[in-house]
Amino acid sequence: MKSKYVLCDASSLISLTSSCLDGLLPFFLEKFGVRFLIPKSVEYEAVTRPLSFKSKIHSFSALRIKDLIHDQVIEVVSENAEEETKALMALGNSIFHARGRTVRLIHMGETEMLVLANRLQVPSLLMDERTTRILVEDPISMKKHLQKEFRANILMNKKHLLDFSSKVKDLDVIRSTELLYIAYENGFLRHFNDIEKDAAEAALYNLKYAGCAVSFNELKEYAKLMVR
Amino acid sequence: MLDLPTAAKLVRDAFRTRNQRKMRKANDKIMREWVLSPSKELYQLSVYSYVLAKMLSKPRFMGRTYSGKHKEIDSLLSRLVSFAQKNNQTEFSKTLLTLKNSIQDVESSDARYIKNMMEKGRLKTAATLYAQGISLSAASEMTGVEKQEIMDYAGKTLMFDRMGEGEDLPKRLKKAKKMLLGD
Repeated sequence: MKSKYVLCDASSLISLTSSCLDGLLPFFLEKFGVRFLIPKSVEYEAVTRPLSFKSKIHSFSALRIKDLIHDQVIEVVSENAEEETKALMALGNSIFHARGRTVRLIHMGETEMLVLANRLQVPSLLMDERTTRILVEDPISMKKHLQKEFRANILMNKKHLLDFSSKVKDLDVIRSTELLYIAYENGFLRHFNDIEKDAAEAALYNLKYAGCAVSFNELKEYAKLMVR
Repeated sequence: MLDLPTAAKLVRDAFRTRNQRKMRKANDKIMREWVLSPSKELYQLSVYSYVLAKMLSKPRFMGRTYSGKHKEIDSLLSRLVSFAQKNNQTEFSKTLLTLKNSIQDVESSDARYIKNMMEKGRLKTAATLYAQGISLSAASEMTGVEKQEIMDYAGKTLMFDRMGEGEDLPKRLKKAKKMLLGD
């Protein structure tokens, strides 16, 4: 079986573990040879730091991810891309302007994922965060959104947008809901027997409530696509 | 553009008139300004205006028992305006800290939740940033609120229904199948 690689950001791991659907990762590894990669920064963010909180509020999620790393379902990659990340972040943060000022949208965390995906030649990204995905897929809708939110005319630096887009054009972003839907089609929830479709639909809603950036309309679309 | 003295004035006037709606509007304005011109002071004013709006909406915090605290907050807000006008950053920051303690005192006398109003204010501020279009990591860094908490809050709102969805679902699924199954 040929290995396929998917680079995951912290947001997808958070929604998967928060909805107790992290079993999707070993499912894809065992059944389809998909290897899930995270940079060290994501490991720190999703495991090390939450485990240091006295409140233990996110400890269980963190331990689930730690366990997946231990079982080599998730592999941590060491790659330093700080300079490139800073450059791409600066570019991404100079696309939109409101009231004569720059709207700084993206941060090192998400930008690093885009840079690493290119550098490691892993064009597949699993990301439940909304802003970066929309910036990659449909920056014009981001402009419209910002206009509505800031109640101001948003100016777009087309050159910076083209430069940014050219650097991310080969990347494909999916969310944990797509992961779940495909797993459902391939038997992940078959043990639910005659309530399999209901379980899949409920699990999709669970991912949304855990923070995966998916709209209710899209959830309805998923439901329509499901075959009972 | 909203400068610091004007922002402080908005909060002072809304609290002085005990007008929750006005405080919410002040909070909206300050938030929008803060996103474009981030500063520690505007961030704090943004969180505190949210918390004060919450306080104004709760009858249990607006009774006579708390009238002393309300006067104290009124006075601190007036001092904030004055220090902002004089561009006295040190005193402004000190007064913000005293204001924070005063607000926390009000709630601590009748605490009901694990997360206090100030923490909720920070979370709400972070989630609003994310809703406005700022990335999750940026919202988390700007407010000091964990990503997991922002996602948990965001998931229970309609923020993902208020924006374009990017690629359509059939295209996205096709892409995902290629990615995961090699189809």
